[in-house]
Amino acid sequence: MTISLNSLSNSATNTAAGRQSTVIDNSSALAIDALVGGQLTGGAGAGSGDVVRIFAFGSYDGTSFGGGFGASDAAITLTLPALTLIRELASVYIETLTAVPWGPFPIAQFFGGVLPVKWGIFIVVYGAPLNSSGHELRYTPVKRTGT
Amino acid sequence: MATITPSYGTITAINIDWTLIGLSANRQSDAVDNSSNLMDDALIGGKFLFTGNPTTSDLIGVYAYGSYDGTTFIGNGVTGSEGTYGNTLFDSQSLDGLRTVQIIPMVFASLSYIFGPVSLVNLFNGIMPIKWGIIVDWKTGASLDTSVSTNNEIRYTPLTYVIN
Repeated sequence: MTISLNSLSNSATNTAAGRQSTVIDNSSALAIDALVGGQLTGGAGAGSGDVVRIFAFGSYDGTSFGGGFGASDAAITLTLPALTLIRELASVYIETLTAVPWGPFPIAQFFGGVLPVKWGIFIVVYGAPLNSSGHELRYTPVKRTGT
Repeated sequence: MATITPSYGTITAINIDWTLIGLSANRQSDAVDNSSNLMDDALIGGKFLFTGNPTTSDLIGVYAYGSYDGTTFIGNGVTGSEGTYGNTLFDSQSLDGLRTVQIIPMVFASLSYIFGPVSLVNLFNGIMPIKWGIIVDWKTGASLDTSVSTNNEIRYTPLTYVIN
């Protein structure tokens, strides 16, 4: 997935200033679910208690996104109450310069069992800024087949 | 080998008269009849645009109602037709049976409030009601900007699963 995580700076604790991914369009891929995961690498200064919060957001009509997100990789700031409009996948502690893998998480379950027609990921750092490299965000489309 | 895929249908507006909603003027939508279109699910979402900043601690409650027989609707005072919702202040009785779609805290810096998508089936424990609709509980004195019809909406995307 496209998201600029290199050197992503930390958010103030009274807000959620982070980075959203470019959204995934399921209108043609028609996956029944998507398994999301990735890895994050702490930057210089990473220490005890540093945490990254990972959220999913989606669209109900292919155009408007819950929480007010856009369609492309960008810096986004939400108020903390606005986080109630999206879904939290995980909190990942990034306390060293070692890459930390996370996931996989099935996106559909966060939307009541259905994969939205378009969806994306929002990542917020509470601690030292991320490293200048060593990150990835990926998903595996899931389809159900039978005979 | 067959593959099951989701089919996203035509996005459809829920009928609520946004010009009449307001503090102590909650609103219920027309019921959506699933007896003929036979959706497997409906993904619900919407947005609100205000003419000014709401007051901190204001909120909007969006709820779903349903029918178990196509005639009787759960929720005290639900008729299945667009109109004022009889209970101007929600209480335990009026909330009985309704499903919470989204509680929207009105403390954003932006004036645009967008929520969803929310699976209706998940709210009804895995089954799509034969008829269903939306109730909006308006707990803010802020006024909607209704100058453009698309400023405010609650819509749904019908979803069916297709075997290919």
